[in-house]
Amino acid sequence: MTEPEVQPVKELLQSGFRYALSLTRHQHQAEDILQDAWLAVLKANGSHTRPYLYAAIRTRFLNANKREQLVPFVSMDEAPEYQIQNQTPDLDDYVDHVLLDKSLGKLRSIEREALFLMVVEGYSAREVAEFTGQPRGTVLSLVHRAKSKLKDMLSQATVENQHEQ
Amino acid sequence: MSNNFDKHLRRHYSDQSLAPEVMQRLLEMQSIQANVSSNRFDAIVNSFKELFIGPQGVTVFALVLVLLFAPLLVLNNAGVSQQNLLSNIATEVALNHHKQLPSDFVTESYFELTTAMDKLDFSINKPLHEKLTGYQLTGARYCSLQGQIAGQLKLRHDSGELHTLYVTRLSEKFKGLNESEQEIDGLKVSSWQADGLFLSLAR
Repeated sequence: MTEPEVQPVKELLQSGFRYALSLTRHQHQAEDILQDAWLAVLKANGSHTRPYLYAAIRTRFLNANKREQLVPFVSMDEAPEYQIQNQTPDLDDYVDHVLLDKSLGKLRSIEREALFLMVVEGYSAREVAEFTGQPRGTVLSLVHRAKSKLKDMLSQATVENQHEQ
Repeated sequence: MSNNFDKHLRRHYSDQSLAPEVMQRLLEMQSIQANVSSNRFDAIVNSFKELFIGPQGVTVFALVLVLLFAPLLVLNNAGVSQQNLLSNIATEVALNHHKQLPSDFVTESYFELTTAMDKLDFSINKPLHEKLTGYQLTGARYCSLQGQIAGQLKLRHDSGELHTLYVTRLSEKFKGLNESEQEIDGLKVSSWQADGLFLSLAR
């Protein structure tokens, strides 16, 4: 994750909050972790950049959730990389934001993190791999898996809603 | 990639924002920390001035003194870093106290709390300390102190005031700290060690 320009502080803090939220799914926890990480960045006179702040947030999240370490689990039957890049599920029809929020909450934190960094923040798989210390293929697999799960959850919820009506 | 879905996901996250009061507090932290750093820099500059500025004739003598007292300076520096850590803890405790976040666990029982807060790597027994007489537990939540997982206990004093107690494991980081009392933003922060724990009370 390379980012030479210093971010305006407010924008940086908002991004940090969203990243913390993608990890914790809990507003107060995200605020706590961000505050702690921000204090550490200030004390260390660290650069006011997203990679620096995100690294501090990630460390604190891992420390606070030792029982839920972000250890990637890659099953033997995972799709090969070429398949991952070419067959990302089509989720265009599923846009209910309340359902999306609930479904995101059911993903593993490592999946939400990969999804957030690649899709929302626009980092490349290589950059996310470097940042999280995982192989690039694993990052792509996590994003693919997260989208597949979201598709299943959202389509199931849509069918249930139709039945109720 | 499913561009439309990606757009929705981006919008979903961009809709989530820090509350204005939290943003304000984080920005204030930046200026507080800038002041602390500036004071530390001034203190270092002043120390050097005291050491090196003086009559020319005694410069050599002063250098000899510096060499003689170097071990003392190192020891004094350790004291300064201890003081800095205590001051950082007090600042963090004061910020957390002012947040007034709701309790995740509402109980008056320390026993129930120990069972409920299973993420903590220590047990919260009823702390016995003269500073904690006249308090009733009302609830608690997880927080962190200097990057270490901690419990924030909400206590109601006999006077009716709500105070907060921060408890964390007495790790190497906290071991060398002496009992202290500091005032931050009109808040008294007392810190001490007991039974393998480090405690800070904000009142």
